[in-house]
Amino acid sequence: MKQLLLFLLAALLTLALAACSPNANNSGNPNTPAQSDSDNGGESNADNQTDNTVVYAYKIGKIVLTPGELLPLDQLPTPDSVAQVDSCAGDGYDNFYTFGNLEITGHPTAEGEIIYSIYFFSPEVATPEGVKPGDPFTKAADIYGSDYTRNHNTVIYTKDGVDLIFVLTDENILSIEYMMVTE
Amino acid sequence: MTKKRTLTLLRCLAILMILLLLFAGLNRLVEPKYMTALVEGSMLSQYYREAGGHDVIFVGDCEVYANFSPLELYREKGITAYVRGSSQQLIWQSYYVLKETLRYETPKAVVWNVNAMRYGENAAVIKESYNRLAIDQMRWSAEKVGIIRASMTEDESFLSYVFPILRYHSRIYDLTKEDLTYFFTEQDTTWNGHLMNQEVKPVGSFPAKRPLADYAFPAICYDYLDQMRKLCEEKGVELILVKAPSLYPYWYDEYDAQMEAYASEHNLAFYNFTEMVDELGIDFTTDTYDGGYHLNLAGAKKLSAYFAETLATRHGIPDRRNDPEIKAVYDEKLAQYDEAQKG
Repeated sequence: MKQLLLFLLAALLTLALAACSPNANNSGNPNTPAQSDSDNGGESNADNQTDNTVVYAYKIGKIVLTPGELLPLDQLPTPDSVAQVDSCAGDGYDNFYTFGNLEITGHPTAEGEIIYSIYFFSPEVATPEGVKPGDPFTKAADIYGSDYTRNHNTVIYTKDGVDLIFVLTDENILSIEYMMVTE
Repeated sequence: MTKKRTLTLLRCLAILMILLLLFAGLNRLVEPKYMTALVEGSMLSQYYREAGGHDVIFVGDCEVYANFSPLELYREKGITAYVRGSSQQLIWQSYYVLKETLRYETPKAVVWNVNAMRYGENAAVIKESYNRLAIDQMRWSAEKVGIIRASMTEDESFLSYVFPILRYHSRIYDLTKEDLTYFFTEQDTTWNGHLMNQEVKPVGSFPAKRPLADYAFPAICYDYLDQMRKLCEEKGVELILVKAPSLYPYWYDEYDAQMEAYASEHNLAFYNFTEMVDELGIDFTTDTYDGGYHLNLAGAKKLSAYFAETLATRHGIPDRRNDPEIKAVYDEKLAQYDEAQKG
């Protein structure tokens, strides 16, 4: 009986001291960081042809905007509008800055506001490589290559911590988004 | 068995009980109490103290618990109601919350907010933090097991819901006064499930209305909606679908068409309050506490007054003010509710 009790005590202590699951937030705060918005399921093209010179970033004049880096608001024109989106339970917020047909999402961090995503769906806006909404996806594939993942109508290229996302309709580009890859 | 062995056995059992109690106490100590911070985490559990006697049960996300006030329904039409809402409540969670509620009582109607139809199993809004707010404080039951299994992300474990210390063990270094104050007790932070907010933040800007490649609701959402509908049918409860009048996230016309079609196919009532803002008299410069995402109390009063009339006249929800016992309870609730509004 004493041995049984000792075993049970050991088991309870082990359970109490057991580590959290591998990717859990060890601060114990139930407000864990956001999951990635990228849907990386679906088919993955096995042909690894890519254009390694292309950088997944957007440019406004000489200003390079890269998701994951600090948002240089002071260098940008005054936004047409700013929207702040809160969650249901106050789980942080994002700022949506609109510059004409371009929408930049900023996410506040301890280091400052970083670029979470750059989004556009107007044919008046194009990527630095000249791909714009309304173009056939084949044009994007010619430039960015075939190393992408596809889930239904969403095509995702990933490089250097940035997802370049094309949403398609009838194999034409509906919208384009540069988004920071989150863990 | 000799007396000595009996005493030894009893002593061992006593020690075991003490160890188990200590372990249980430790689990209770480190788990978040959701009484002063993130009160949304205790909303579902507050229902247990008031379970039963409601003619209308609301189920759904923050659009429900912010926008509908059961006490206003009572004030207007003597309707007894409760909101079983939680933050970012997904449809599979609504199903299990509904199923659990129907074990406690059989209302005349269940009202479900259809906003969650847009969120399938791959939705970006699925986070452990929201799961914890909904599930942590639920009483253990088959429904709690079901909701955990349906909601767990890849990084979560079932055992961490059974033994909160597995998830919250490092909170032992961050304990607050709340953890001790509410170790044994819980206070009501809602009014029959309505989370009151009297702040005013006029409507501002919203992100661009993005065209979608596919507006079809995920199949899993239709599956669970079917299950909720059938559950209500089995119990003789009327299922009423609503879309709360929130300005964002956008409720696309294509979404509305799908809900209209579903409601028509299954003879359900569906009220899209986003199209009835003028009729409701809602002014998004004064009736919202967060720029148009949710109504504040002023807005909730307008919506609830309108819906009370609808529930009474179109759905036959009775006026319970003639029942002396119910009247006594609700008169007291209303008095406290009105007093709380004075700040």
